[in-house]
Order: sequence, then C-alpha cells, then structure tokens
Amino acid sequence: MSKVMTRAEMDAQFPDEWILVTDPVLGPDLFVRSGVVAAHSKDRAEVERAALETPSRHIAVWFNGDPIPPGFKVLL
Amino acid sequence: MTTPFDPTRRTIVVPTQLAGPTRVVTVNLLLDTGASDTFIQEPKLLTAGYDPAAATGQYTVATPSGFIGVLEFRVLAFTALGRVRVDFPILAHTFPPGTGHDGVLGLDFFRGNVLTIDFVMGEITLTPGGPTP
Repeated sequence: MSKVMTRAEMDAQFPDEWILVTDPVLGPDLFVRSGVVAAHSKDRAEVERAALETPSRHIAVWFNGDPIPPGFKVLL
Repeated sequence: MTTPFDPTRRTIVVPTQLAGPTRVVTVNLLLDTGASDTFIQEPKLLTAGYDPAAATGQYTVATPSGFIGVLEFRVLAFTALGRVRVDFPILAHTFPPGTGHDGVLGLDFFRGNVLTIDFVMGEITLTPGGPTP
C-alpha cells in the first residue's frame, strides 16, 4: 500500500520536481496538505502521462520549486 | 478568503481546482493581470476528462512572441481563491518545458470581485464586489 506523505515530507524529498498526488487532502486555500505520491520527476511530461493513467478521481499536480528557472525574467 | 503566497518569488502562485467529467485536478496557476483570460496546460484538461474534439470555441491569442490559436473548454467548475465558477471558460495552451506552472489565472476570473495583493504580508484576498460595468 502506498504511503501517505505530508506536504513537508514531499517538499523535503522532491525538490525541483513535478509531483503527482492522488486523493490529496487540501486546505481551504487549496494547497495540498498530504496525500499519496503517485509519481515525481523533473520531467513534466512524465508526470502528465502518469496522471492520465491513474485511476484516482481526484489528483493534484504541481512543481515543487520556483516556477521560473533561475536567471530567467518573465513576460507572460 | 485570504490565500498566502511567497512575495520573494518572481511570480504569484495560486492553487486552483478544475472539475472535469472524469477527474478533479488541482493545479498551480500564476496570477496574471496582463492576461485577458485563464489558460491551463492542455494535458491537465485532458486529465480532467475534456476531449479536444469537444472544445467549445477556438480563439486567436496575442502573445509577446506572436499570435497563436487555442481551444476553449467550458469547465464544469473551477475554483480559486475561495471562489467557485461554474461553466467557466478555460483556454488550453502548452507552456514551454522548463516552466514550473500549469497556466495563468487571468482577468476573466476576477471580474465582479475585489482583488487585493499584499506584497508585505504575502497574502491575496478576493472578495465579492459587484457587476463589472
């Protein structure tokens, strides 16, 4: 059985990676508090493929780091 | 409701929730008052169960690097900053590899509300206002 991890544990174990969590527990602000890590990778496409394949009806996906690479400026 | 953000970062990350025919997907978007609309990474819309063949519209978008074509999906429900929008239009886009976000939360989401961004406390507050003239 997959282990439930807290957000702090995920932050510490998977820095600068995309994280897919199934059946996440969210706070009222929608930040993930805990859940089961179904996939993690520095490659977004890999995590997106895993998200498509998971049977879970509720998932959360996010990048655990600065959304903009170091040294880059942003014009959206 | 008040949502925290990290004011030391170069962008404002907002957790959002997208409800689709097959899944509920929680993704992080960047708050972007320079965007007319809300855009989400296309694979996340597919994951929620939206089929490109069932897109509800097609639009041309002006970006800093030129004009692009995008598909629109009206999503069952979209939640951010304590507000829920039903039958809300989302535009699908594929963001460049190396960027760590899944889209942008644009002005269309904020209309009719009062948006307060506190860069000292690192807090965003969105409260109901009234109809936008």
